[in-house]
Amino acid sequence: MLRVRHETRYDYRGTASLAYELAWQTPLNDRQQNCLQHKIRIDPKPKYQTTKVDFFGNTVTYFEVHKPHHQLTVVSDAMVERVYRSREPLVAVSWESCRFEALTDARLRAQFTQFAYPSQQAPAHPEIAEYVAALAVPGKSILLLVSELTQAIYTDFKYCTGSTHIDTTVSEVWETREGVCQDFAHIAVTALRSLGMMTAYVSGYLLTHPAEGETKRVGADASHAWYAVFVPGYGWLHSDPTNNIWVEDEHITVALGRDYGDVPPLKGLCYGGGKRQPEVMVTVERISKEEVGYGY
Amino acid sequence: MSDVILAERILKQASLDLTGTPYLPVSGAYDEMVDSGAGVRDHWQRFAGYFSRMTPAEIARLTRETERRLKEQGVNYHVYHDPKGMRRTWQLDPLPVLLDEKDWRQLDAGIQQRARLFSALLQDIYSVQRALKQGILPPELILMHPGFLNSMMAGVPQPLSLFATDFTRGPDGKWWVLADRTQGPSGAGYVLEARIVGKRVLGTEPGELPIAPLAPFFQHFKRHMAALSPDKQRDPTIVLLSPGIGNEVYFEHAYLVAQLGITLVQGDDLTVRQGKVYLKTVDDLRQVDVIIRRVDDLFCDPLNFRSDSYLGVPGLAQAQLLGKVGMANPLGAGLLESPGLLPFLPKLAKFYLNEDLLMPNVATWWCGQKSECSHVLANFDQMVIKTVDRAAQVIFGGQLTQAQKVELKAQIKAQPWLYVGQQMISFSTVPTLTSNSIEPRHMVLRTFAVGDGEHYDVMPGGLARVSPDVNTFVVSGQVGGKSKDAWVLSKMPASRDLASVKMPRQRRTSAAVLTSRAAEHLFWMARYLERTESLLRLIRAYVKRLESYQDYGFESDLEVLGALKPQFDMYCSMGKNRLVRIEAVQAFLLNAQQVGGMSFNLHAAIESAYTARDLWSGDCWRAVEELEELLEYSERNWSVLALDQFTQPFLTALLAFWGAAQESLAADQGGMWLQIGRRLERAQNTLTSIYHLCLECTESCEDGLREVILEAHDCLNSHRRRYGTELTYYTVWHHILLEPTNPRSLVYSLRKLEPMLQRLNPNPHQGLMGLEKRILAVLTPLRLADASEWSSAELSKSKLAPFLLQLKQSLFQFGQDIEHQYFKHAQPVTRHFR
Repeated sequence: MLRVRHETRYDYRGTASLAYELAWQTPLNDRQQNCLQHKIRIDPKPKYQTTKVDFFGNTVTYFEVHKPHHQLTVVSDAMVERVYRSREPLVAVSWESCRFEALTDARLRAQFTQFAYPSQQAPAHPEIAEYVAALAVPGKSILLLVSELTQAIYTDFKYCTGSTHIDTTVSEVWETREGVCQDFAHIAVTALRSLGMMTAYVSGYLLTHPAEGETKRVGADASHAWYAVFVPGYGWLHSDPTNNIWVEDEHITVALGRDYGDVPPLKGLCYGGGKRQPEVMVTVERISKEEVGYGY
Repeated sequence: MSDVILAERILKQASLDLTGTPYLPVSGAYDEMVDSGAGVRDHWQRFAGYFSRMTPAEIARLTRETERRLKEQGVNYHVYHDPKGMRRTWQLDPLPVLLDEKDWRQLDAGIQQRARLFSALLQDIYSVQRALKQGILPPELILMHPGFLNSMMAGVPQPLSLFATDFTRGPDGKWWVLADRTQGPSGAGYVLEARIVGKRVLGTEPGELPIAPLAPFFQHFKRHMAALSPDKQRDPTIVLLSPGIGNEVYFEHAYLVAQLGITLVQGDDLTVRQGKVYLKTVDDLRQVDVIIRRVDDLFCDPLNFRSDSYLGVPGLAQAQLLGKVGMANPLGAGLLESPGLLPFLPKLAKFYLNEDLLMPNVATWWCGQKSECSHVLANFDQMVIKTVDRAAQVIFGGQLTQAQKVELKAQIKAQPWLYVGQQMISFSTVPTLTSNSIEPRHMVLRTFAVGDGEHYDVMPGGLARVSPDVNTFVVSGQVGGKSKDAWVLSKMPASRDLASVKMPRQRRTSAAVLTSRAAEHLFWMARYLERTESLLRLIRAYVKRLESYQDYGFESDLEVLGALKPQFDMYCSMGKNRLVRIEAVQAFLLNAQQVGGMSFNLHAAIESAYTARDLWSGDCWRAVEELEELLEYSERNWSVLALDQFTQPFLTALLAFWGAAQESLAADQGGMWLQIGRRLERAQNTLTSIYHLCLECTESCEDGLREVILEAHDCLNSHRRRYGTELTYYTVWHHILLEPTNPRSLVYSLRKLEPMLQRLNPNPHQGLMGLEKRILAVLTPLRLADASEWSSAELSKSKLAPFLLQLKQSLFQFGQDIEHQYFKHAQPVTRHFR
């Protein structure tokens, strides 16, 4: 069981009179996790707040703040139960059989089309295509291909906080071989889509302090990102290139999209206020079943 | 062939000998007037007869008259203040395209079916996506189209209300669909304008033809728009959302709202609150029920779509999704314009309507399919290549260089779903006016329909656009193509036709309202115009003195001229030299770059006038245009014109505008804001001008200076009538500042403000509001003042100047308060992510 608190705070120099925001902060319910509880608190209290399920099945919160304010705080608390899924069945699945082309069911094709092609922040990139083509030996299992790609990105790219920002393009990251978790996820998404695979950018969180004796993971203090490949008959196979690990019981999935632009934790605009960078704090801790119900 | 028929044919051919040059149809294209045997088609007979009597002089008259009338109506198709200096007036050919009733019935049915089909497709795509899930459409065609908006899924469904189609007639005489327009189809307003102008310039003979009228279409239009309102209880407030004066068809936006009696708005005028859309008026927020959208969907909402757009309203997508506002057309409808859909329409008509598609499309291959893509690549030179999202952009495969071909083919292979190839088709030709004769030109006909998803009303006729010359098929207004009206000739006489139209009961709509932005523009326009006026008077008076000095060399004139320099500095700094030279005055007047100069002020005023384009009466607008033309002419010719050659025309044009505005613009429709701006500006100018004058008063130049200043304030004559030749400090100060009966006096201007402020006060029984108190604070000391206390140069400097300075500050604060209280929408937007 994991508990997360995600706090975002904007301090404005001036007074902001009106704010319109969209937040992708509600953990997903899928075959790999159950979101047991989720609460989002916003200060100042929005005059209007509503949630809907977006095109990809994520929960998105829309809110309007009408009161003049100097500070906007969004606190999201959630409790998530991770469900272990064996990757064993994937050993025998070739990567070619996971291509969009191989899908024949029109219903599924309609559902996964947008994951199969380049997107705004993960546009086609010939060199990245070559990079992954070298790994995609015919008949190789999807499991092996994904783990090799994750390994390759982990080894070839340097994690550097502050080296990139949300507008950094995939080709800039490719040139400098530096970036943060969002960038690595975009590289992987670009690479696998060039092979015709249905690949998602995943936004989520990572356990802040893993078990004793283990090192702290990278990217745990802020919102995290990785990628997932859709395997027909199995579902999404998640992999974290920033830490070179499979996504099991240390991650919390919030939202899947084509790229960052589909699922930013918070985006919006306000009138007045002036520009200011937000402060983000994320804490994820493991709790025992008994603790459930406390603190809420 | 019998002799009779032969004779008839010869007769017909003879009648085609137009203005001495024969009308020669283009081989390989269908001609609308002349059949393949060179005979005139039946429904063109009357016109052909008219043509045959046409002389070059008549052609010249038609062209001239059309231009004159369009100008009179203020029709244009241009971008105001375009940095590239592009200023196109709309090119109208008054000769219509004639469509016979049988032909039209076929088009009409085809258009209605198509509109129903597209509406069904739109609603399916943004809800359950049946067509995709059942494999009727390839998913890439829809889901990878840049106009498919993920965030518009699963909202309250809305129909496709507005639908336009571009048709052409192939060599076989059949109509073919070239493209569909669903984003914010423009042109319907131009048809109305073309009809009015065309019928007038052509005169009675062609005008007598039984033309199907346009008026019912616009009534249906308003009825359908009103029906979109989610709130069925109240009279709906309908707005037209325009990108503003930068848009080339802005004229049409303003024209349509005036015709329909609705409100013209820009993104900044609207605000979303709790998922509902509101209009910012000077009084309060007022809920908007229906938006006629002329802004492309990706620009409509910076929160959900392009965050760099300043044309939209944050949260508008949420309002549509929640069903709190009717949208014509709904956000997301742009996708339907994809030419990639064309080959699938027969299948979709069966799927959604269980009907056969009535109107065929021009053969189109969507490259997202393998075999279609290779067909396009293999027959590249014979293809028209279009991208699915910017269908207006057309590339002729055969006209590309080898390198361009290679590049485009590579792009197609990389993202095939974004491209289509279309068969090149020869468009039909239609008689078109050229400079001295009537010649065939290729045409495309745009038709318009409005409806509720189930039933559509089609405008009889439409807007035809013709190619600039006979060798090209490009008909865009941007390359010099002209527009034409299309007349549907019905058997029924026009008048009875109109009367017999059964109009379903119309829902009342609430009257157009004045937006806060429009009020602000009027306020500032008035201020800029008033400033220009006082500037011109100052210059006229100054130049007169300057000439007198140059002619006679009187020292006292020089003194006066020097004392007037601070008067110029009020508007913008004129440098250190005490004598303002004539060249500097000229630049001050007509150099648009000189901030504060006349040209600058007038441009600002005219731009504001454009923004409030829908409010002006015809006469008012003509006065604005005359000012604009005068300004353009003077700016071009300033080096060869003497100053007094344009100061007077400008003053006259300004007065003409004020006269027209006074007579036509109702107080609650903006007239009041115009008056408030004018009175405030005049009061401020008088105060400032007299203040500076007081500081300049010396014994040596007194009389002359006082006379000039009376002249500059247009009071010299009224002063003489009151005081005769007496010209003392007392009489001048009293006349300009305190005289309540002098329309140019300070007290008079301020008193004119009072009743307008009273109208603004929402609760008069609760006493004066802040603004009224501010004006009283300026007015009361003036009413208590006695000009005999300022009766010398010394007293003017020591007593009057500080007195005026104080009033000036109070009045400035009053202006600030007005802006703050009534025009406060203009707050900068900060965008943030993550």
